[in-house]
Amino acid sequence: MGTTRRRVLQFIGAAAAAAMPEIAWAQVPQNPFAGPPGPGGGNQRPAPLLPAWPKASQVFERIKAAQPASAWNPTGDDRIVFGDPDIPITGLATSFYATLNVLKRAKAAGLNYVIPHENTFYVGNDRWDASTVPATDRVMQAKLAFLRDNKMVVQRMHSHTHSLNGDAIMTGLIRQLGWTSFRQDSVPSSGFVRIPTTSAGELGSLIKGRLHLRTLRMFGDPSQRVSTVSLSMGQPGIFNKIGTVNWPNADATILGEVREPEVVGFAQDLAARRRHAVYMVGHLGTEEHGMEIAAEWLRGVFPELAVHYVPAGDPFVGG
Amino acid sequence: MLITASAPVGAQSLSAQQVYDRMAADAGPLARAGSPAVPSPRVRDPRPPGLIVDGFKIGDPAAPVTGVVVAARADMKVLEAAVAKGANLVISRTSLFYDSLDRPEGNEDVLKEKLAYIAQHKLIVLRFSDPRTGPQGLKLVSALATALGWTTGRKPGNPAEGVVYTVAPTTPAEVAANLKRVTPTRTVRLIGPRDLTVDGVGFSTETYRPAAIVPLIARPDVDLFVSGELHETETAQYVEDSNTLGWPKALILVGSIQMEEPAAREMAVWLDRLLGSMPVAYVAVEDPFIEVP
Repeated sequence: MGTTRRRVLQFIGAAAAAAMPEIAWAQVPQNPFAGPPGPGGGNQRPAPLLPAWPKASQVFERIKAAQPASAWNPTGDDRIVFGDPDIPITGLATSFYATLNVLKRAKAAGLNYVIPHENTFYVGNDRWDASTVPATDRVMQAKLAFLRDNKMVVQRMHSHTHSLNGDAIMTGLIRQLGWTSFRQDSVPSSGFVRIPTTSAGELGSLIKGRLHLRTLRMFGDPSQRVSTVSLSMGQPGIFNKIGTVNWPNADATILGEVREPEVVGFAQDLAARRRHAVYMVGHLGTEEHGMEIAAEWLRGVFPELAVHYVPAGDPFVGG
Repeated sequence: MLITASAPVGAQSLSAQQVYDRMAADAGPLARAGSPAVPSPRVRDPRPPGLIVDGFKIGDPAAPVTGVVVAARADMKVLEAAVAKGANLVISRTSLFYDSLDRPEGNEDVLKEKLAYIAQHKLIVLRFSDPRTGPQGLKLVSALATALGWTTGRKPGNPAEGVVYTVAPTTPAEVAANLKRVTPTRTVRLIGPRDLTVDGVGFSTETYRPAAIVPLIARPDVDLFVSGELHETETAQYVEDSNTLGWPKALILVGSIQMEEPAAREMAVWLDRLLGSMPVAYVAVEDPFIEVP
């Protein structure tokens, strides 16, 4: 077993690596700013004119060390899920998820260390051993080939983003909505705002526009006056979502991704008793903007590298 | 049939348990029989794969039934309609107590009021939605496809994992319009090309877990998948990536409660036949959603 593959095993685990298709590891490219090859030819390592690009493993270590007070989940949702740890990294991209569209745009911008908030390989926590996608699946194979051929590394950052400066995901959502100065609550991962009174219908248009949604479902009377909004992001579980809908004194609620009979059902039963507007923004819509804050933070950690947030964009349209 | 608070004169006197036993016998074996999953220990945790949910959720199964109401979800308005009709057995396709197993544990006023209402009116609520493999069971599994006009073309497979149909060529736009009409609902969501020619359609049945759904969408004979809801990070991402790669797929989300309306209507027709002179009524859940322009 080559040195490179052994190191990959360290990152993704033996069981996961055994489940991966066999791939050949190409030689990593030299630093393009390095000097010309010496008399021995291309195999001789030239003296660089500038510091060498950091290796993926070094980028990973620097990210982990940058905010030690923030939670880090090394075996779950904060880890490298694909890539050769020795690849020199020319730039970082953050995103909600590393779709092929995001990967292509990252690659085109020279960003080969991609940091999605969510999973990449169509299974929770990118657990190969739990995946039911067949090994021969052509979409999976094509995605793996793109990452391999373009020498990219994918490092998920989920728990760590949620514990960054409070909760960068909730902060990002509220900032994108333009409601930072309206925030009332002090619990980082929850949201409660008092906004200038508006109608539920106008509020829906505001949410749809500011979050760049292509479709947005709401329920409630569009003429209802709304001054207070509770916010939930992502999919933290039914109890959490119900708590947001049931927030005391909230006129309206923004929801991420929900189990509908349980959470929409709760909202239906609540709405049978009192006026309440609900906006079904979805998982991506409530969480992707926080990855822009993650990029801003990472720029401070890696002043020598290009760091950009790459929006994945609302996958849905109205049918 | 005049509906009163007590069983109509001349009607068969059946307990709720007897009604359920007749239903289970007529609908056939559970598609998941032999592999029941362990319930998640915590209330309101995600529904584990293969979990059987059918059964009485509240009320006295031994009580005589005065009338039956069938609904996609036993929400407060459906319960009130049942009381107005003099029916005391409500059959719900989807969960009613904000937990996949309908364990009514929580301290919200909404839950307490619902439980108090049910107790006050001595209602009995039965969940009946786990896919079953007898002819009538398969009619329920196929109810949405049938409502869309697809009465043949279902491929063999375990219906608890979903169903796949071969259909005459159509498009996601056309299917979306029909879905809105037959459920009914004002809002559906789509991923993928509206005008893609599709002739292989999959439907989710028991579950929206990616582990069950992604392999179905990945099948070469499935171009379009219809589900109530999904996990965005796994399932939506797979469909997006397939489209980026030039292997078009489409996915339509119709809403998990609304998706059960055709099956609830079919159940009402079935039970009206099965239960003799017992009053049976279908009650529609008011679709709550509108599209923000």
